[in-house]
Amino acid sequence: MHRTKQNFREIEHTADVGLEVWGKSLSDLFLNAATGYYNLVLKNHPASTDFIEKTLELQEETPEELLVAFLSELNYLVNSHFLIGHYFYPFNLEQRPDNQRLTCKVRFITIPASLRDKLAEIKAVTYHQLSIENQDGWMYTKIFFDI
Amino acid sequence: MRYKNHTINPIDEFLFEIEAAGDMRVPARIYSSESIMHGLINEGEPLQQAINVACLPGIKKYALAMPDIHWGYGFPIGGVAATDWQGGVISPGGVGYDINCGVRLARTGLTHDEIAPQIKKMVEGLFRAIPTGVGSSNAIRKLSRQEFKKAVGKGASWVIDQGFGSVSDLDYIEENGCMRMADPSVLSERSIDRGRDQMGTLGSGNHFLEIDVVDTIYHQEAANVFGLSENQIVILIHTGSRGFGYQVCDDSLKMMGKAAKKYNLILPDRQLASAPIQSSEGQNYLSSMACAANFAWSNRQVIMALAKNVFKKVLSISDKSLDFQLVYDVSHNIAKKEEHKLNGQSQALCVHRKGATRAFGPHHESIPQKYESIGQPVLIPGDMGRYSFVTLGTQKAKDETFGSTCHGAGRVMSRRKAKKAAQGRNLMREMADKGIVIQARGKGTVAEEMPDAYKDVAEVVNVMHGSGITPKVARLRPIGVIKG
Repeated sequence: MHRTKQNFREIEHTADVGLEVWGKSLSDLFLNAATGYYNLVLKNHPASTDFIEKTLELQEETPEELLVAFLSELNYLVNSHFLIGHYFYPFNLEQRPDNQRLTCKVRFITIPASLRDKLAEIKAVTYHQLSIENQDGWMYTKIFFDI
Repeated sequence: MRYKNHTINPIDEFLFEIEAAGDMRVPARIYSSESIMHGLINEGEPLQQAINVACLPGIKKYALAMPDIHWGYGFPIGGVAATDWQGGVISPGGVGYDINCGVRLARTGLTHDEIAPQIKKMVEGLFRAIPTGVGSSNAIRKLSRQEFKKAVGKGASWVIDQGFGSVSDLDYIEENGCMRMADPSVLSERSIDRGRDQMGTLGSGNHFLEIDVVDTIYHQEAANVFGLSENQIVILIHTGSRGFGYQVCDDSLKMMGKAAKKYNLILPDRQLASAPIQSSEGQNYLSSMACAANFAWSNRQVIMALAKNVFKKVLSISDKSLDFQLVYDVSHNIAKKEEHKLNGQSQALCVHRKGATRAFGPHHESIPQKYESIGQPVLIPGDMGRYSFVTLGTQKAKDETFGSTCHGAGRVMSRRKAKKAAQGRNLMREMADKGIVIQARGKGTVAEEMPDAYKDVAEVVNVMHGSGITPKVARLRPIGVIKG
């Protein structure tokens, strides 16, 4: 397994786009997936000291469903409100059989109007071939986005 | 031929059948050339998806795939499946995220020679007038939630009431621009949020507006009925339901994932998440999908009206001289209730078309009266550097493919590879050398969408022409393109 420094890598796909993501823990995996997702959406993120803070609370049956829900939430906020998550803390994942919960506080930056033309439009986060695995002590997943 | 443990039998030169085996309830039929078929066997996944679709509860006759088949989420793109309206399932994967992504063709009374000196100005004017790109908005003012619900409930007639086009346009839009089963009360607030300020926007990726010239007529009779002639200037619009449709699909997939468990549906792929059509979940999806479909028809109606205004302004001509008329607007991502004959009996079916276009033949009650004698126009877009096609719906399509055909070319190169291949090339100059003026949001878009990144749509169209499903009527060559 060839992890990259950023712990995510874009996967070549003919019609859409995918990411391979690694994390030392499930929380790390989720955060690295978010970073990878934002990297797809906008290459150079704006610097700002004006933040909007939101709390995300999500609940699903499996870690994979929770990951899709998490990234879908971020995707909705980019597309509808032009918000990019800058800082995720605290970030809590609770895992129980058939019940996975995520709660986190996120500081978002508003993408200025001048950069909105540069946004890549991601229609949705998909479940395609989605599986979160433990590989050599690292959490690993592949996730595909419909563009 | 074989794919895994499945036998593939050639039915004729352009049709192959994967025998029903294992959990398949029906065979899978693939419209294809032999060379495309060998490629599909090597690739594997699209065929596996066609096989998976053949396992859906209530599926009738065949799971179908068109020659532009490539892998999608659940259903392959280029897939058609009809399920029993009473006892079968409906699957959002059989429609896609971009609900009612489709194509609209409008004709003018102008010729290439008449507008050639003005083409650059026209493209610039179109690019200014029609919002493109991600989150592009405000072609018309941001709608209130109430207005939005009215708009998606009424479809294209609502935007016509706001001054975009005329009532006569409705005759030339599939479903007259409105699926009646739309129920805005089932929509999530989130989906409305994503759609409220995107009415009349093109979007990005492979969506486009083109000024085309009709460069070849193959079927003179049909061309005459459609009002097409050689050297004529036409407009081709390709876009869909934008963020609203994507969110409706997203919301629905979540609901359907739970429904599949509730109704004990055994599905080979999670992304075929479905519910019985007659269940509350099935009806909920149909109602929200119809809202998204109505949004897309309204969207294309507004864009067409904006384009017409640009033509009039740049060319300083009257309505009469422009002679601008809608030829047809047809979807290639949708699910609809339709009557089809099975074993000689007419039966109500839910026809899923995902990357497949309706293609009804002569005398069908759903096609415009003007086209009754000849059949429905079918619009098949190609890439921005080559051509698109107008083809013709037939009774053979109705009999063999639930009235369906292909929808376009499909990519052969990832966006990343395309950008890499474009390095060191001046794509705008290459297009200009071909006589095509392009305006796009960024060089990245042009690179991602360059012709080399796509299959030649002629190969796809020729399979459906050769099979007699949808004969070619005309070829359209782009001379001006705007992209997001």
